This record gives sequence, C-alpha cells and structure tokens, in this order.
Amino acid sequence: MPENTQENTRENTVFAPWDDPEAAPLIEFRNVTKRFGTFTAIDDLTLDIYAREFFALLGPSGCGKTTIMRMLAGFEDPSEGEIRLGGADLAGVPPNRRPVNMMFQSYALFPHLSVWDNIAFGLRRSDMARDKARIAARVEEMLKLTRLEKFARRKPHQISGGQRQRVALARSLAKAPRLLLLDEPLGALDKKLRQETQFELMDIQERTGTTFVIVTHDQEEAMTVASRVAVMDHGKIVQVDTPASIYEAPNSVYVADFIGEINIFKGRASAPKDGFCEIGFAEGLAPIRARAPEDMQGEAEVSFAIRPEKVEISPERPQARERANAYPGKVIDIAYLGNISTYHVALAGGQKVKVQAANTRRIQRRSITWDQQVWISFTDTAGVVLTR
Amino acid sequence: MRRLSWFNLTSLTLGLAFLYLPMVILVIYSFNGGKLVTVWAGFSTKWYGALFHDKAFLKAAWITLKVAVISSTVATLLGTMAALVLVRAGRFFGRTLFSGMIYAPLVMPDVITGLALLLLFIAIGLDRGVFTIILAHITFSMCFVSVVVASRLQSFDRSLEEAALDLGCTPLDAFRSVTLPIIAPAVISGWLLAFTLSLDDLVISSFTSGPSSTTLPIKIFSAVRLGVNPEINALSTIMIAIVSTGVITASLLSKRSIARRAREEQEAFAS
Ligand SMILES: Nc1ncnc2c1ncn2[C@@H]1O[C@H](COP(=O)(O)OP(=O)(O)OP(=O)(O)O)[C@@H](O)[C@H]1O
Ligand SMILES: [Mg+2]
Repeated sequence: MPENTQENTRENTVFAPWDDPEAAPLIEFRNVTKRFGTFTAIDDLTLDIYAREFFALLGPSGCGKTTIMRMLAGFEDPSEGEIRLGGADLAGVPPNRRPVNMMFQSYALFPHLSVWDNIAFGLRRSDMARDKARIAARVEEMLKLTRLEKFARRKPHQISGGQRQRVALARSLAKAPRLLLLDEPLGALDKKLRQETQFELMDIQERTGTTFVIVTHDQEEAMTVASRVAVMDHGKIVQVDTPASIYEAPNSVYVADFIGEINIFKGRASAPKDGFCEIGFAEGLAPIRARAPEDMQGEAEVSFAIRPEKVEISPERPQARERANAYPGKVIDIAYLGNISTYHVALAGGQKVKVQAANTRRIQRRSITWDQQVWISFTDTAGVVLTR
Repeated sequence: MRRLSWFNLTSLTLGLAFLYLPMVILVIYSFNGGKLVTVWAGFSTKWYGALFHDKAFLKAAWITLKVAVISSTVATLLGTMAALVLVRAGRFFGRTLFSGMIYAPLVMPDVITGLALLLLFIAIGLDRGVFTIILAHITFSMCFVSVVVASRLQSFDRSLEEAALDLGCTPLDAFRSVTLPIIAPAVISGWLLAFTLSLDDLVISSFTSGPSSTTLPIKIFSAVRLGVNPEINALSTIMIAIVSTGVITASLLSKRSIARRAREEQEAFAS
C-alpha cells in the first residue's frame, strides 16, 4: 500500500502528539464517571487531550458534552475516576484556581455590567489587576477582535443574540488561559461571521498556544477547526480521531451516520479473501466487493458505508475495470445545490442511494433527469465495512 | 376604553370609602381647632405645633426610628443569609424542617412571639429596653426578608456566579460583585418591609419594652386609652403622609426604571 505509507510520513511531520508515545497529555481523564442521582451522564470516560490541541466534542443533545466541560472548569466533581491537568490531579481545586476559562452555552453575561466591564471582569481579578492601562488595552483588543467596539457601553440586554455570544467569547478569551472551554461558541452567528471567527480562533490558538476544547453541533465547524474530534453517544466516546479519519474511516455506523451524509448497505459479508470480502445486500443483485476490516474473520453481519461523493453516476454502464461495483437504478430525486448536485437513486432491490456529483461538466450532468435509468458505481476501496 | 357600569362604579366607591374614610376623618380632625375630637371647631394647625413641643412624643419617635433602622438592617443581613442557604444549599439533613422554621413566624400570632421573647429575656436576665425591642423586631422581621429574597434567588441564574468563579473570583467576591448587585432590588424591598413592620409594631414591642423605652405605637395606644386627643390625630396624619410619600416614590421609581429599560432596548435594536 504505497499510498498509505506516504500518508503516514506526512502525518508525522505535522502536529500529532497523540501518535507520539513520549508526549505527555495536558488533560487526562481516567475512568471518569459522572452520575446525577441514578442517571449516568458520563460513563467511564478515559481520554487524553494534548497541549495546543483544538479538540472538538461532537454528539447529539444530552450526550454529556457540557458535563465534560463543567468537570474541567470545576463546577462538577466526577463521581468516580480522576481528571489531571498537566499531571496534577484536579480534584478539590476550586474553579477560580484553575488555569481554565469557559464560555458558557447560555453565555452567562453579567446583566448589571456593560459589555466593556464584562470583558474586563476577569482581567481585574488577574495579575494585571493594578495595571488599568493594560486592562484597557486588552479589552479594546478583545472588542476589536469580536467587532464589538460600537457596543462597549451597552448592557447585555441592549444587544442582539449574536452580539451577546461574541461578548461571552471575548470575555473568556481575555485572560488568555492555558485551557479554553468553548461550549457552542458560534451557534448564533451568521455563516460569514462564523467562518471568520473560526479562522480567528485558529489564529489565536496558533499565536498563543492555548489548548481549546470546543463543543459544537456543527460538524463542518468541527472539521474546519479541530485537530481531533471526539464523537459521543450517551456519555461515552465512540471514536476519537482526526477529522479526516473520522470522515474517511468511521469505526461504527453511529459515527458514520453522525458525521456527514452516508449510504448504509446492511448485509452479510463473506469470509475475507486477500483482504477483500463480498457483501450480499439484496436478492438478485451482485454482492458489493469491498476491503474487509482487519479484525474480521469468517462471515459476519456488516454494514457497508459509502459517502455520496464517492459514488459515480452515469447514464450507461461504466466500462472501467477498477469500478468493481456497479448497479442499475432509477433517479427519483435531484437536488441541485449550485456547485454540486445530489441524486437519489433507487436500486432494483428498493435500496435508495444518494450520489453527489460536482457540477463541472455542465452539459453532461444536466443530461441526467428524473425517472431516468442510470448506473451507479464505486471502487472496492471507496467505502468502509463496519461490524458495529 | 370601556366605561364603568353603575354596578362597578358603586363597588369601587364603596370599597374605597371603606378603606379610606377612617383615614380621611382622622386627617380632617387633625386640623380641628377645638379640644374635642368629635366636634368641629374651626381650622387650626395648633396641634401640630403642640406635637413638636411634646418631649415625650419626640423621644418616642426617635426610639422608634432607631429601632426600625437597626432592626431592619440586621434582619436584612440575617434574612438574606437564611435565604441563600434555603435556595442554594441543595438537599441537606433537616432542610425541610429548617425552611418550615424560617417561615413559621410569618403566621405566628404576635402575642405568642411577644410572650415567648419576654419569657426568654426574663430567663436570661436581660433588662428590657431599646436593645430588647431591637432583638425582638429582628426576630420577627427576618423571616419576611428571607421570603422576599428567597423568591428572587429562585429565579437567579446560577451560571452567572459560576462565570464569576471561572474568571477568578473567590466565592465571596463572586457574591459581592455579581449576585448582590443583581438581587439588590429584592434585598432593598426586604429592608423596606422590615422597616415598616418595625415602625408600626405594637404587640411585640409592648411585651419587650421597658419603662424608658416607649415606641411611638405604644405611646399612641396608651394615650388613646386615656381619651383620643387631637395631638394623636396630628401625629397619625404625619405618619400617613410619610408612608404614602414613600410608597408613591418607590412605585414611581420602579415604573421609571422599567420605562427606561424598555426605551434602552428599543434604542439598541433601532441602531
Ligand atoms: N445537574 C444535573 N442534574 C441532573 N441531570 C443533569 C444535570 N446536568 C446534566 N444532566 C443530564 O446529563 C445529561 C448530559 O447533559 P449535558 O448538559 O452534558 O448535555 P449536552 O451534551 O451538553 O447537550 P446539549 O448539546 O443539548 O447542550 C443530560 O441528559 C442532562 O439531562
Ligand atoms: Mg450542552
């Protein structure tokens, strides 16, 4: 696999402390469990986060993302296990003694203080407390960064939701902590401002070396900013990996389904031969030929997952030999999104497949219309076989 | 706007008359020139003059004011602390009992509270005087304060305090610079409530006062027993004036602050 080795050497030259057995993590969760009464919000969590990382927590509502943040900030104590920061156990360290700042999901702006005083609040309680000029300079810098200069004298109830979010962000950034926890920091911003702020955050991170843990519902955001992404489900982490690996090599149907769009074919895989297996997913259709996962032995019930953009659509049966899998189907829906189009194709067995194609060759793509008989095809390495 | 029907109008008139007629009569007779309270003998303000030369009344007024200010301030302090524990401490052993015990004095008859305090002061050998009245007033007005403050704390967003801690405040600093400014209106109304309660308390004060520590309500009550005298009417009129000025000012202030807030919000979104 020459392609793979090349990938690995490239990875090693970039920032990847999690692959380095020598590297000491900044944050260590060791078998942390958090219970509220009888409800288990975090279930036996073990996780390392390294200094200078931009670590994203992704998961459905109520899966425990905020709870993890609150334990790091010191507002909740783990019911079991321990959390270490820079090698020292955090148990019993009060929030005001932790080199950690948090941006709250609810913003938690002080209603009786102006935007300016909100941002200065933490600085007045830091080592620059006596230096009024430095505080003022820092606040102005934060105001400029979040484009709030015009609103400095307003109270929180006098500004819009998106502006409030930016105040909360500015307030948590002001002290330049070692670890910054951002609980859905950009949810209320419009797309343009959000992208600018994302790049701003990455820039801050590069300049200051701050470690970021960020909660987001927006997977595109996680993909853009994160060095690693953790996908959570019901208080457990299902997969932790780089955005690319999470996207290209999800370890389960849950992760595959959660991140981006994907087609899932459920079926029975034959025993692997030369690293490949064949998955029968519908009566009367040829099985899918795909690379078998390394730990697979013998036959197994599996799900074959493939991203819509890795499936080819064509009016005729493709001739190329490397397209190992090809099926006829009928177009039942087309969504034209400008730069790309999504085709919904129904196969003979009833299985529906989403296909995404870039609209580069305008005329050819347009030639595929509703109800047309088409062929979809993909190579034997385009998808992944998932055993759970 | 709908016009009042004759039925509503009558009810309103009757109700208001029922509430305010006694006071109106009292105010009118405070300007009576004659010595007899029930016979009108021309307009005069001489009873007001007499009042300001009556040393005993002035002394009683001074004691009342002193007691009210000190007791309401201490009660506000203690009541706020009790409210914090009630709302914040989560579940602890005896919590229900504690909250019940805080609120019980609200419904306790004054006579019983007064008697109990009297017995206590005698038992510990405390001489009755201004000090014991202050203690007694703190005891019964504290629970009113804690009810008012607790209801505000219930809707207070805890994450504000957490944010303060997160930004480096000690718990005490967080309370002082975030919680207190936000709940201040409730604390102030608690104080005002305690102050007025103390100002007009008669029963508990009579149980706990000594010979040299007569408060205004006690003074009025004992004077009236010897026959109503126009000086009392004058004094009562002054008290009515003070109280209604206070109430009207407070309501105007709060109305203005609501209006200002609404205007500021409008301006904010207009720009
Ligand atoms: N103080 C608490 N008492 C009881 N249950 C709680 C408490 N805090 C959180 N939970 C529960 O723990 C679970 C995880 O909550 P958490 O706030 O961490 O979710 P989340 O992943 O941040 O969700 P969202 O994306 O909606 O913000 C939820 O089911 C929630 O109901
Ligand atoms: Mg949350």
